[in-house]
Amino acid sequence: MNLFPYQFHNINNKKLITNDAGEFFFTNEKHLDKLIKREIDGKFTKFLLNKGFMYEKENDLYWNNFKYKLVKRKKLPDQLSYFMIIPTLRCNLNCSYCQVSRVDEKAKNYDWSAEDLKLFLNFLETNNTTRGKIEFQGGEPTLRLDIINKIQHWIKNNNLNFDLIICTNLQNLSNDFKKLLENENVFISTSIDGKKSIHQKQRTKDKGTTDEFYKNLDFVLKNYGNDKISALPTFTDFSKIDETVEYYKELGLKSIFLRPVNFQGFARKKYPSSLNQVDLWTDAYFKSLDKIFLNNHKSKDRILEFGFENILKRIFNVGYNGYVDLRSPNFYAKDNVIIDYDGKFYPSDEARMLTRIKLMDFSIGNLRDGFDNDKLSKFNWNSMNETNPDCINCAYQPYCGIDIVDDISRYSRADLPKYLTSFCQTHMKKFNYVFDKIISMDPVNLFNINGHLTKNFNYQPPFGQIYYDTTH
Amino acid sequence: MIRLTRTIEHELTVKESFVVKIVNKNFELLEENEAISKNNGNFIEVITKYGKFKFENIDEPLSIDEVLIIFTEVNKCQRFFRPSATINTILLTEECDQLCIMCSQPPKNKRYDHFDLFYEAAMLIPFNSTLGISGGEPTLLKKNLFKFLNRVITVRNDIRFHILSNCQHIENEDIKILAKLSKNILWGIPVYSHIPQTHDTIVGKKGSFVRVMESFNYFIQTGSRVELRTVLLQQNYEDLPKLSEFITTHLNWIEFWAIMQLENFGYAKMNWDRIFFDNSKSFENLGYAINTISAKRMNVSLYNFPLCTIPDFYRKYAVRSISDWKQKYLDECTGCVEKDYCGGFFEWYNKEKGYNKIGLRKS
Repeated sequence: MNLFPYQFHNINNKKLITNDAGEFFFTNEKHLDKLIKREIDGKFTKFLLNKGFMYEKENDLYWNNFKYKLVKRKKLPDQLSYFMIIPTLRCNLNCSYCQVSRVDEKAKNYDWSAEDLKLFLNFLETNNTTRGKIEFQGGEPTLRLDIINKIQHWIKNNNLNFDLIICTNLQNLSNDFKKLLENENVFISTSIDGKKSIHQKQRTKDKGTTDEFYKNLDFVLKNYGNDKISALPTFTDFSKIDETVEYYKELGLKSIFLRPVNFQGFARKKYPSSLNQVDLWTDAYFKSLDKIFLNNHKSKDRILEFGFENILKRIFNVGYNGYVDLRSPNFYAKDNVIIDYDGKFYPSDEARMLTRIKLMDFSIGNLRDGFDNDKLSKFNWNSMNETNPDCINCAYQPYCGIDIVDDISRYSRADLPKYLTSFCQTHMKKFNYVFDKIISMDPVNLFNINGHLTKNFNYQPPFGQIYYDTTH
Repeated sequence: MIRLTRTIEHELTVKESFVVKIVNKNFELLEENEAISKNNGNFIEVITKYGKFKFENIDEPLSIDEVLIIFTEVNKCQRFFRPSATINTILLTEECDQLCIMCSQPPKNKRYDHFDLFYEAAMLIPFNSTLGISGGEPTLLKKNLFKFLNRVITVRNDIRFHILSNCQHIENEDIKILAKLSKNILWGIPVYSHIPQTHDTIVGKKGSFVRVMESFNYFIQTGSRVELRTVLLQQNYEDLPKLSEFITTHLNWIEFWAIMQLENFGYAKMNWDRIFFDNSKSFENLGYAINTISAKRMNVSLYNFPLCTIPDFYRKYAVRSISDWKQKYLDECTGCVEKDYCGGFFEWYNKEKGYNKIGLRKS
């Protein structure tokens, strides 16, 4: 019998043991000690073998399945399938925390030209992508409904399987826009910061504009159902989270993503305190999660929280690596790419903002000349927590991610020791929180873990025996 | 029920067996491997280049693109490929080296290894079709079977095979051919418990479980696709939760897990009282197993379960898996709003000994 490599971590005096295949269990100090000293008796051996921590001999089924899980966790898709495009940088709103940098609605030279659109369609064609998603960001992309319509026609004419996601502020629901929404493959993503007063303060500013938004939101929900729309709140005031969660439920939305105002783009100047808000944010976030869990358990009016779901899926779902904010390797331009209003490629939306505020040029090519592979390769060599000295001994490494754009945005460098970064500190806390929920075996927690993993809220632990001591 | 092998009366000019595809053409334009079918009252008449034959007009008539094998000497016609069927299966042999307590087709010393005819017939089936291969135990004829599969796939790479095997005969020397065939074959492999002795007792062969796992190690290395099959029994109901954990830890690479209800035929009928597990009475362990699998984002399906025997939430896992030729609905099904999504019952389902609770909503 042989052990696969493992890491360990202390959570509330319980020892969490994980391995690179993403398997885990908890034990006590005594058995961790035995594990380290290789004093493993028959019973412990059987447990470790069952849990995917041991193999009998090289190249046996245990060995090969471990390999399979490892590859499946690390391997990213081979083909670009997610295109985030910015047909215009112009916007008809001026939100207090605007992430992306925007320009006035009447500004000139901030739009895709006919040539850019043609180049983009060529780009899709040469990449041979037949299915995926195209997300329209801005600015306000519906100011260029003509471009969205042309892309939709092109997709239909070529019989391709693409979803279109229009990230809109829903200030102008024109007849043309409504007509586009009739298509089954077209979806809306919008910002709802909470009840009218918060939304108006942060986004719409005056009553008329606010009323227009809520009227349009109501129209979309009533006429197309809540599957058509996904909504995101941005929190600048953490005391307002619970109120906003309740409001999302009132609207009939089934999911919410709780995240703090992002320290990027223009937001950086307006909210300097967001540079280091790890404790402030996580405390508020966990409190709100606890409240969501209790309410989900109490009433049938339930809501899922995407951040919690995402972490659970990273732990339990081998091969779940579609979300770029939490994965490793996090190679850029592998399965997704951002294309700005001027045709430039960026590795992420954040990278686009940082370039615009002139922190550093993150562009990795453009529609005319293709990818800048030298630059890409430099980014990618720094986008693996598997090789980062601060990460390799961390028990959360198999589930965690790496985000050099976030690091550079906060610290102007990518080589700050990871444990000093906001990314690492926040995620340590999140993983601690989630694993604490898992080992608690508390009915409310199990109920919500199942709900977030399978949408079937129930009390059955989906992971068998996860605590080992000799009384078992 | 649809009879797949029919006795024929014929005036054929050839002695050898041959294959034809039913087409819609004039006789003059007919090719050697084509035929025209006519409904003649009590008989279905088939006209080929080599003359005519006919059989009684009961159950389903022949359809365009249907492929037949005519065994001239024994006066039989096999409906090899019916385009409308959920799956068309080649029964290769009735020999088997296991004796499962719920076997619906107890082993006999009979082989139907007409590989050359199967090859010719396979060449005639529509683009992107799937052929089932079952037994008995098909891999008892492993050498010729692999040759046949390789021959078909070399010419018709669009054809997919679904092979039901007990997985007792895959060896290290098969790795090369398995790798070559991996994209075209889905292996349906039974595992009845995570406890070796329980599995071995159910299949009536000592060492069977260990041998399956050995074969799995060849499958995982060759990228072979596996559908894991577990027949629900009184003998393994208790094991389902642990079995689901075993699968999510050690068999992550399988394509999906099918949990199957019993077909009361053969040994299953004989042993019914001591093996049938009525899931309409208790679904708890099934729910647990499904939950474990889907929490890991793996796929699980329920085969041969009438929808009304499954709790609401888990009905979405049920698949209409009973082959059309041996499927039926009961009086209780009349007017059921879920009938269109339900696989119904086996032709030989016995209500007296069956589920405690059946029949669903009428509106």
